[in-house]
Amino acid sequence: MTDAKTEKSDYNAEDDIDRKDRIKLAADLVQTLSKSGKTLKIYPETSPVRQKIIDELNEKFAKFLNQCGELDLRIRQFEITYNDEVIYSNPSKEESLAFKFYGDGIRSIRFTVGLEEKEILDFIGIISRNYSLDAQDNDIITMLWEKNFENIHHTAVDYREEREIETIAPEDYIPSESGSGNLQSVFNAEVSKHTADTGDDGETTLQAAAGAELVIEAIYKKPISEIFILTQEEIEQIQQEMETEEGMDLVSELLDILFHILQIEKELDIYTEILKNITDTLKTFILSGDYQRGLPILTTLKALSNEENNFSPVHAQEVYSAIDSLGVEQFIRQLTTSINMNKLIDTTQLFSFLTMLNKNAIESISNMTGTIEQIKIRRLYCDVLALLARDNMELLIKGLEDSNWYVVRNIVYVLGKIGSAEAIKYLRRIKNHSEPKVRKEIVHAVSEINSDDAKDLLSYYLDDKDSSVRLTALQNIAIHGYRKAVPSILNIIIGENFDTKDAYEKKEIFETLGILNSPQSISYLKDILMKRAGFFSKARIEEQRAYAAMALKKMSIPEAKDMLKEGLSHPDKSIRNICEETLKYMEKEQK
Amino acid sequence: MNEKPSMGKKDASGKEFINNLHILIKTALIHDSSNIAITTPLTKTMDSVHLLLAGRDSFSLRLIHDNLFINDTKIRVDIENFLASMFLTGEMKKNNTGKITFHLQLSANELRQFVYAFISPVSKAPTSNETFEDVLDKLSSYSIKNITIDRLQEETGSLGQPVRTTQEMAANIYFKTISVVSEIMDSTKLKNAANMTKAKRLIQSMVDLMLQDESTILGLTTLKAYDEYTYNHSVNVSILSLAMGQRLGYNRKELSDLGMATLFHDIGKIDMPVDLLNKPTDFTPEEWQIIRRHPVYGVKTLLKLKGLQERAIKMVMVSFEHHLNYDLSGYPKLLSPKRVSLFGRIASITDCYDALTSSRVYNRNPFLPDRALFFMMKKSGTAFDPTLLKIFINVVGIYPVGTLVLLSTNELGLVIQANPSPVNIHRPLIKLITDPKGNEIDGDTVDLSKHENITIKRSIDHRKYGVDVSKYFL
Ligand SMILES: [Fe+2]
Ligand SMILES: [Fe+2]
Repeated sequence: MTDAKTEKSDYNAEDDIDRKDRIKLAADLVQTLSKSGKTLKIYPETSPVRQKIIDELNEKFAKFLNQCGELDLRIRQFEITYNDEVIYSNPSKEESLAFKFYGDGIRSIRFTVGLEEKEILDFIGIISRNYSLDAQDNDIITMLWEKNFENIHHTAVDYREEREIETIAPEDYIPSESGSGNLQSVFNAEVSKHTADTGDDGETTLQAAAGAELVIEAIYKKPISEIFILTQEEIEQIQQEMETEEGMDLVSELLDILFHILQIEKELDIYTEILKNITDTLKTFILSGDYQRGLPILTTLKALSNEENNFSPVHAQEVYSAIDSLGVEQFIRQLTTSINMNKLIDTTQLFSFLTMLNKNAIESISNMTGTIEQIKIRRLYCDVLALLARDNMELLIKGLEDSNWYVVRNIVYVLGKIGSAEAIKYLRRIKNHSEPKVRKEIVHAVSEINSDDAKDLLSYYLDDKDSSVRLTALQNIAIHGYRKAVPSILNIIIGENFDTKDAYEKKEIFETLGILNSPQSISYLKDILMKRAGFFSKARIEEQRAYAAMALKKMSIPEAKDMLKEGLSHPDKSIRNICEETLKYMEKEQK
Repeated sequence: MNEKPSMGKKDASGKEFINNLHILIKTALIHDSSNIAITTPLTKTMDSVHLLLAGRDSFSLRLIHDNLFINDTKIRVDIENFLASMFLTGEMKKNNTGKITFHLQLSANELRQFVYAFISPVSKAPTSNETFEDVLDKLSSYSIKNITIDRLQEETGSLGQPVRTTQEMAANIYFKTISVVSEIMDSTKLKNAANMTKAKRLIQSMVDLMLQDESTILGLTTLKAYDEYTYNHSVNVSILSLAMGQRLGYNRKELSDLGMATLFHDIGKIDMPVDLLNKPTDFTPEEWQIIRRHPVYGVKTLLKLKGLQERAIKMVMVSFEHHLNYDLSGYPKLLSPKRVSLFGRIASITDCYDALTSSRVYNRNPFLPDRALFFMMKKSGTAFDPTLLKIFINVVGIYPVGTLVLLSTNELGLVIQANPSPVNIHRPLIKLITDPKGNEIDGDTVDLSKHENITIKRSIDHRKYGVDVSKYFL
């Protein structure tokens, strides 16, 4: 009695140790499996770390399967058990491996002897995927099903009932006898009909006489034994098509269908729905930088938004609205963000895309000119605006009130680019903008505009408080030969502040005066040139004479020469000299 | 067990009871108990209760392992009653009820009260024990004595492969698929993604079965429902397409995509008036005009299935293309030429075949399978891709599985498997079902390619004689 009992408990203890070992091994294996999913994603294919993890897993699986035959795991909501012991537990819905399986309906997973490295890797690939991204197409069960593993098996609850699949014993099925007692009547009718078959149509008679073969042979004009054998040519042709389809871009196929529908579908509900899908696809293309596929779509839509190319004005309007959806700020903002992230943008295609948009894009794009990071692309946005807003300048004007000075500057640039005289009235409103860069941009812009108002505004900046603005204005006056600015320049020269300007600006002022070549300046220049020392210091007099000479050297009108010739006989020697030198210079230049 | 000899009759009255109870509960879900609409289904159900009570004190409707039983007799699920069975199974599970017993003294009023007591707790969490208690409470508060209920027995869920024959599995999957398609297509909006996942899982099982045993599952396509044409047709087209896909050598993923795409090829019909689809007479030209809209309607519906994913796109393709003929002569009429995808070309063949051989929509008098094939062969190269049509005929044979044939020996036989060799395409495997004198037998299976002296004289329209050939496949 006692012996037997001892023996029995000994046996149990041994078994228990064995069992404990197995459970430990299994727990370790599942832990490793769960970890490697995360780690393997980080390391590239060639990484030695990666290979180490794979080798480790391989080894652990091999060891376990060799010792224990198979690894049969049961899945609970947040736990995995082996031999009724919990060997994995993680209550986080996001991270738990158990929950991932459980949520998909999987209730057990079994790994069997013969498990290969490829299977382990594929399995890890499946469990480490992010399913929320494409839940519709791929779930764990589908992925496992598609892989059709030889050594990984799973059971799942029937999706329908959320319960285990039932077992029905075969003897449960008892065939019905209804509707099967009348074979005798079939027989009677058909056999007698057959023997007396005369009055049916040709085909039936033919068939009655010789079965279906003759009918088919008549259709194919070949013996029946040859008709349904596929020829080598047919096999190749179909394989060719299958290959083509495998490499086919399904999204393009979808678009092809959608555009076919737009060509034929008049029902507005459907038309709009299809259109919406096309635009959504187009947006995806554009955001991913795929202009290759995106641009042709927009080109087609543009054509369809024209009444002449569509069933009715209503349909054309629908298309127009669809294009509007590409111009809304939300989308242009997304686009700008994606451009900021991806520095390699095909600017030509981006330009084509943006310039095809509707008017509603003007405000969105102008708001984004301050957000775009690359200078090149900012210029591009502005150039786009110049094209889009050419006839709709009023849509740009809001940007002039933007609190960000750079947005204002960009819009001013665009207005200059458009170069329409109408812009002046808007620019005038902000002519005293606090930011010098904006005022400078206004100077550039008004220089592009050919109107008296523009030139007046240009002269206005000669007296700006910022020297670079003043200089830019001067330069532009010179470039455009704007003589009307002469009185303003002269006012500056005789003004109180002139002396406080630095040498470079003074030089620019006089040179500009020279370039403008106006008779109006002569008497002033004469005054400066021939002023005698006395009240003023000598050095200052000489500096001013040099500037006046500088201006005169740029001039070609006879009044200038006449004045200098007059100076040749001036009693002051230094004046005579400077006149002589300047005249010589002018004559040389004229040659 | 000693009730078995009279099985046939009881089975029929059991089915009728199931159908009537189904309609009664559905009506009760819509109308309240005083509504006149409840009267007819109530009377009909009472009639079938009385039929089943004949000579007994009581009978029970039982739910065991997902199957309905009347006492110890299992209700065979077939094309006429599968929706009713699924529905009742679902209702009983909801209330955690495993057995409903009807006693001899039952009155129509009691039955009515019972039905409303039975449906009202549905707002509670399903399958909780409370719901069963609720129903019990209600029954006693109405003092219903002649209908009693028992709790559903907890089933010891055993993991591992269920032991079933291929035929049973095939039939099970077939009916479940029909049921899922009907749920999806009845709900008009595809908002229920869970149903799509159900459908996907069923198609995966279908592919598994197809890879194991093509004939059994092909045999199920001989089931032609008269009331649920669209659903039944959808599943048939899916099965036939999968069989073609298998011949073409598609992998599992491609097969499951093909199965799903063809299963929902007619999803555009959810936007068509039901009365039109089930119209008993021929369509007028105006009605045809409406019917022809379904490929584009289908595209519209399917587009809501989450944008640009592969499977959804393939589904869109099949919906749009399945009536575009090979030469684009079908509908919708396109303004510019288009390549029809292989899936689309496959669906146009399987769809046409199943439609021609079913007694709905395209013709009131369905073609026999071989006649349908003649019709289609004449359009090889115009309506149908000639190579794919050949492959299709290789799959189904000239006398497709399920065809009743008269042999040169004057025996009647049923085609149970196409001959795998195209040379012997007109010589399938036949199960003899009568002797040369017309007596029904459970005969041998004969491979006609090995018996050159026996030929098929002709195919016979089993429907004309009310012969249920599907029973050989269920
Ligand atoms: Fe259709
Ligand atoms: Fe169809």
